Amino acid sequence: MQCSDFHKIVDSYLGDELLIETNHEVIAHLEACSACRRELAARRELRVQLRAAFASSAALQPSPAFTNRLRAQLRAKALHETTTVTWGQWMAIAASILLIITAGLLATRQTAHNTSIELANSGRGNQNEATRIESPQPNASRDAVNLFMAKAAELAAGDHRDCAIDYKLAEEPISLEEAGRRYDRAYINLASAVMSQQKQLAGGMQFVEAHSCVFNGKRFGHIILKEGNHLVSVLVTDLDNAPAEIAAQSSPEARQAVVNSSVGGYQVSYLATAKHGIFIVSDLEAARNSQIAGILVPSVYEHVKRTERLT
Amino acid sequence: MFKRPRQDERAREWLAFEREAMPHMDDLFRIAKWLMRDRVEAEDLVQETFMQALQSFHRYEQGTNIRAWLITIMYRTRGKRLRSGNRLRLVSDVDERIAETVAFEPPTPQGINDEEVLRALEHLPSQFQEVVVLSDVEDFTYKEIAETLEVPIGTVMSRLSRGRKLLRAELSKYANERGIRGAGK
Repeated sequence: MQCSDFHKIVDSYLGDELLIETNHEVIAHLEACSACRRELAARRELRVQLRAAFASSAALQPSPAFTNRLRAQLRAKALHETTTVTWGQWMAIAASILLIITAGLLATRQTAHNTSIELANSGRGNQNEATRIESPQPNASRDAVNLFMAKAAELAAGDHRDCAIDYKLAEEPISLEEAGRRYDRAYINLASAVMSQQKQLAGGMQFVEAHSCVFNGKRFGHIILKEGNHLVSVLVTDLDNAPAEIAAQSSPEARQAVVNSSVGGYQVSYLATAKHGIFIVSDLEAARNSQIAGILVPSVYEHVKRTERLT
Repeated sequence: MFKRPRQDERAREWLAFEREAMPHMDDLFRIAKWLMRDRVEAEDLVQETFMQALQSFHRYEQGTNIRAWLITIMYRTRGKRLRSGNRLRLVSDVDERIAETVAFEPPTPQGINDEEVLRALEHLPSQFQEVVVLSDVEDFTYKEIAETLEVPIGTVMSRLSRGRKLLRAELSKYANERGIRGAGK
């Protein structure tokens, strides 16, 4: 083998792509030719250097936030996909129900124009108290709002169960700060809004944890408190695609009350701002859960409204 | 609403995917970042690749080269994106001719740092970068490169040879600027 032959096949030799016989010829040539040995060593070194440059270049490294996020997404996809109806699907269902009801409403407009109707009475056997909204909204819109919020309350109860109680979420929770930066500024300082009311919560309520977590594809700001052996979740979530009536009902003129209901064995007290739902979930007595909501919700409500005005 | 059917089966598949595929995420990101230049686009590409891989994981043959399998999915995904975004740059004759005109064997300079190596690589026409990265960085065989890029093996061989030649020519520019002597002389 001549040097020129070696140069023609040196790439394949490096890639170990040659036949054994040809390999032997190359080796024999290299033993005799120092120039080709140097050439091969230089090529090998360049290869090593390229690999090292890729592995160490700061510009090419993934951020830990990205890899964590992707890992969580994959995990969620692997373990949960298609097992449940997603938040987005519920929104589509809520929207179509609203459309149907509104169409029906147009036909019976006069009789539907009424006041003071009970909230959260649409099915599911929820028990209600203090559930009045006094604004001249038609029944139908309110039903859609009720259904929408009842659905959101179910998700809140599910998050309380899977996150606070069982801690078996598919996606690892992230800090409220990070969630605030990335998803919804309402999460920033959410913990302070809750904890500012701690003194008013008689009964030795303790702070357990604050983070942002995802349940069934729905992201929540989550503050976990503890009273005796009972965990209490304060949850805030973005009501994206909510019926427009939610925004209307939370206008300053509309007088609102916290809705209390029982969902899947948990007490859920909730209230909607124009864009967010606020939920207090626990397995305490209904009266106590409602009492805690009465203390915490106004502060959280003010905090959330403030962030909504900013955006 | 809270039911979770086939949870055991899903959990098993996830564990296998986590064990086999996930350790290559950083590696894939580096190539994606190299290919896309933009971090957000690279993240998108890696995300789509892994989602796709998870979905077709049952088709992956256990014990074969999973990194090559993942990278192939990534290149195909990227190819699809480029085509749909009308951003596909065909290999131009000009690039090929430039490669032909490079002096036969520029010496491989010594004392070049990692950053300079990457910058030199960046100056190569993309079709040469691709094969150099797949061969030298990812240690793909000619066959794997051919399958990944969907080109004949002969094309892989000629691009690799020219790509390396071009890379050395680029590197010798840096070396000349800094007065570094070539190792080949």
